[in-house]
Amino acid sequence: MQRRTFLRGVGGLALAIPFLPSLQQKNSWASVSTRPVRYVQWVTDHGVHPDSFWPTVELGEPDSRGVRQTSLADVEGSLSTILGQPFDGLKDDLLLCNGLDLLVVRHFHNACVPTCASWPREDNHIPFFAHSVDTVLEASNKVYPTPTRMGALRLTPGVNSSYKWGSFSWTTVDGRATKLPCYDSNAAALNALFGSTDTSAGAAQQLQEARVLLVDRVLDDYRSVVATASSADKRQLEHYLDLLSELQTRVSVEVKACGVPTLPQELDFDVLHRNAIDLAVAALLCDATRVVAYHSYHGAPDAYDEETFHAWAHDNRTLHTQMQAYRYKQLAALIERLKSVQEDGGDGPRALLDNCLVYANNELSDPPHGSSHLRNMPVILAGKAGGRLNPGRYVHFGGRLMNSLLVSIFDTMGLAPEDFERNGVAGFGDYEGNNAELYSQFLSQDERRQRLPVV
Amino acid sequence: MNCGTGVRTTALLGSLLIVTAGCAELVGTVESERLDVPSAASPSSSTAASSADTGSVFIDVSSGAELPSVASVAPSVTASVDGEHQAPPGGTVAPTEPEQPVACLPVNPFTTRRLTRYELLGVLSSVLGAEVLASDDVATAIASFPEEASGDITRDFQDTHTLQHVTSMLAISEAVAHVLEANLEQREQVFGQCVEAADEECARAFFDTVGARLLRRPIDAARKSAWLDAFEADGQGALGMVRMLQRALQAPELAFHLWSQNDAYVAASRLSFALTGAGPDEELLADAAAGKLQHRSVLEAHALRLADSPPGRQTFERLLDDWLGLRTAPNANAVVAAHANIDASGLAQEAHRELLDFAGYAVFDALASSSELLTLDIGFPKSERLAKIYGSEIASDDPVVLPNGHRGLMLRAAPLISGHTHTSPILRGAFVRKRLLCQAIPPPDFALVEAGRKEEASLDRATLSNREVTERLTDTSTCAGCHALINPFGFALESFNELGALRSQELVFDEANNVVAKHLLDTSVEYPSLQTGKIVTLNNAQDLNQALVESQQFHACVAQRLITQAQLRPLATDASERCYAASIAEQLSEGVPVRDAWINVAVESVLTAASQTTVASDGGDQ
Repeated sequence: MQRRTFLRGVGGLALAIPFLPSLQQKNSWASVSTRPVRYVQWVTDHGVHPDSFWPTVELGEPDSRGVRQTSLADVEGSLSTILGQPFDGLKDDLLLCNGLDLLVVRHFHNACVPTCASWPREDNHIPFFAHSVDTVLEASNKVYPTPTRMGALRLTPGVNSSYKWGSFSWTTVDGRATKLPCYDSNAAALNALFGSTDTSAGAAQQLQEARVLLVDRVLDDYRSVVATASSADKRQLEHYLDLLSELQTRVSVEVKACGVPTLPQELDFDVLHRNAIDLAVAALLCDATRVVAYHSYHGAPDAYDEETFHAWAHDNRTLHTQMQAYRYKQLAALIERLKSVQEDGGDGPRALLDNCLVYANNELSDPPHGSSHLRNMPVILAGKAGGRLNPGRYVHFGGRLMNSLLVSIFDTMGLAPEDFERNGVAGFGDYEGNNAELYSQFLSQDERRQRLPVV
Repeated sequence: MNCGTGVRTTALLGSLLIVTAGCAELVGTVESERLDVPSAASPSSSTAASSADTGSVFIDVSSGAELPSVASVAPSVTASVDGEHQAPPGGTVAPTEPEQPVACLPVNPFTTRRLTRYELLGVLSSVLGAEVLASDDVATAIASFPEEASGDITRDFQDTHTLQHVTSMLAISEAVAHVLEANLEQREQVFGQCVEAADEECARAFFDTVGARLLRRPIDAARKSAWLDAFEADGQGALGMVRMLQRALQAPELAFHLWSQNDAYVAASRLSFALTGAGPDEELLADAAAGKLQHRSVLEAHALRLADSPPGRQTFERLLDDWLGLRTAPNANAVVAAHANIDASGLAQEAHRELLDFAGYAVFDALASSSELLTLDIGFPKSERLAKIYGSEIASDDPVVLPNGHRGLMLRAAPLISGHTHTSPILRGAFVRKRLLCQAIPPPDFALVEAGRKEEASLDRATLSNREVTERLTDTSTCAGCHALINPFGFALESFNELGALRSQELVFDEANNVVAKHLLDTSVEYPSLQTGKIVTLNNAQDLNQALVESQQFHACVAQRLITQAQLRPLATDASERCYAASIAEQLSEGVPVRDAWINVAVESVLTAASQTTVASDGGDQ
């Protein structure tokens, strides 16, 4: 039997996918779930033309902080060309956040704008501040009081994540910016999450024991080599040793019995994404991970050609918008699936989405990346984050730093500044750039640590 | 001056590295810097002499960092010039610095680095066999091993394992075990006679065969002892063998190049990975064990054997791909293709394959020089549509002559195909500068690019030729500096259309894909000579091609790629490696086959490393 077709968890909870629709009343739930808040990061690239993305609806008067907002229920029909029909049934679940900027104007592409709030000092795609939200959450003992099988499930369905726009996950190892890979193969991710071809509980335990034994032995081999290695070699070998130790911990974790999706043959990109979404949802539901980073790259249902996509960003508005409508349709499918899944929230079944914080953003705002491409970033939040988020609105922040959004995400996930701050930077991300003077009111240490108003 | 055991003079170091802090300085000075360099036959590294005439300021084209002037490359061991400098156009002259001895040697990378994905797969494939790797379970596990950077790996290689790498290694070892447990034939292939009732003797045989191949060196006594203990604990037999293999598949020696050990086995690995992307075969390991790899002649014989092997050719293809960056070329424009009755689907990929076929034939079968990499008028169009583009016969295993002026790496479909209904002289010119000449071009101001695109939309292509449109868009004072260097090359290539076919006129399509205008072609350009910086005239693409052949910069670029590819790093900034690169460039410009230069670089790298300490011949049991 091929691994991609196996169904594990027989004898566990009879949890099927697709799941039952949510039973919750919209916008009526103020209680806090006892289930952990899960973080789902969805990112794509090459920007969106603003008038094809944002709803054309009157925002209210600005409040004392310059924030305007309105209910998405007031938007008639679809939200926009890109946020089209697939989002029609999700208006109550979304929080559209306009008016969030990076404080720099550089024409560079940079895959870490949405997740690191940072920009590269050269045109090399390497962020200056190389820490992304998902990697910080992955390392946090607030998110993970005990380890799970995987710290973060990173998916880039069908696309090599080493490509310059292929991953939005960065960390810093020995002072070096390090881009973390994603699983481009759903089957490989399934295997890493749930393990074996054998469905029996006894066999699973046997496999786990063998795996722990094997990793133990490999650890011994590394230790023996490290003991005699030169100092130059030692650094890298010890890093590997650390990773092996982490692997040892994670393979020892028993994944909660729950439904694991079968993955139909991926004959087209729709199935590819559907499989990835099923996998992500199952991983969250089974508590195999609490952090998902999903990169949607395919721009059309029948084509994959990154250079052409890039060209469209510059010179073909129509095709570019169609491309993004396709990508955002996958986001809608992800949110829809999270919404359709039930889990026990401590006081009865709740939609998984209600216990999730979904953060969607784009590498750029304006596709041609000429001068306004890092302003008004196309930010979408979704879910209720266990009762900590109140969606169903379109909010315009009037030109605040997008960094504050990331701080808000950390706050929502229960992290204090000392948990998420890195490199001695108060707040999160870059606070230097050639437009910094426009945002001077947000640059004090206190301001940097503030979450966004309203959110 | 002499960079090594030198024989000849005249390496044109200046041509290797052209100033480019901005584009005004991109025009080189190049004509005169001369270094004595080793002969092609013996690019070794011990003695030197010197002579040269003029110098210039050299800037690392990738980093922009200023290099030592040639005058600082000096006497006894190596290179020097007299202190006379010629200012580059628009540039300044670096002060003459005191002469310092510099060896013409590649920088010796002792640093441990991880194996790349393709190196790992190369090792696994050569030891376990392609069938095992192709099985569903193993293929799925391999799919989880992160790909390398898809751009230029010499610039973008990320030498850090992540948890996904480690998890993948575990998954691969488990999947291999699963496949071998289920398949007797494949188990036999890996374990030989020990396929069933394996005992200690089988385990010891494993150390010397599969184990040594995976770890690329004899397994030391302590490791053998530990593995034997585990083998016993597992009850010996097939289970014990499989678990030992799983352990070997995750050994540090497999995941890393532990090059600081610097013994004969490291020498074997260096040579093998440089030329095949995989570990040493049994023949090479045997000579390592016998202490024969201290001898250049032995290394060269192995190098020749490895370079000419299928993995050697594949490794050279990877070098070409990283260098030319044509893996992700855009699809050919469907409108232009339809007008030519050609199916555009997959054409760019086919053209890319054709370029690799051409280069492979040129380098390995025709033993082409770097000049011939630009001038050979042969190709491998294996479909009717590509033959139509070339105006040639369809090729089979042998190349066909391309009668319409297509030739070399530049004048063929792959780099010429455009995704638009008009060619892009800018992209084509930038390809020549950045890829074929290894020059760094500062990125444009995208606010201006955006404005230019809006302006372009207002220009009437029915009345303005592609060249005229390009000139209008780039004629501002801000743009003209760089585009004066980029555009002429693109204009010279205008005799090839958007599919890369020869054309006599430019066709203009409207939004309904109808031809609404035709323009005469003007391929004559004036540009600053790559040799002298003086303004000269090119009449057409063939003139441009010849200018590259004569420029030295192309040969220097090839040399740079040969040196850096195996090291997965840019050319070092120290004068020693620059001098070494110049010596390779000179060999190439004088007609040394590219394959032989590649082999020389690999061999020299091994010898240079080995010279740091004695090459040991006893890497076995301790």
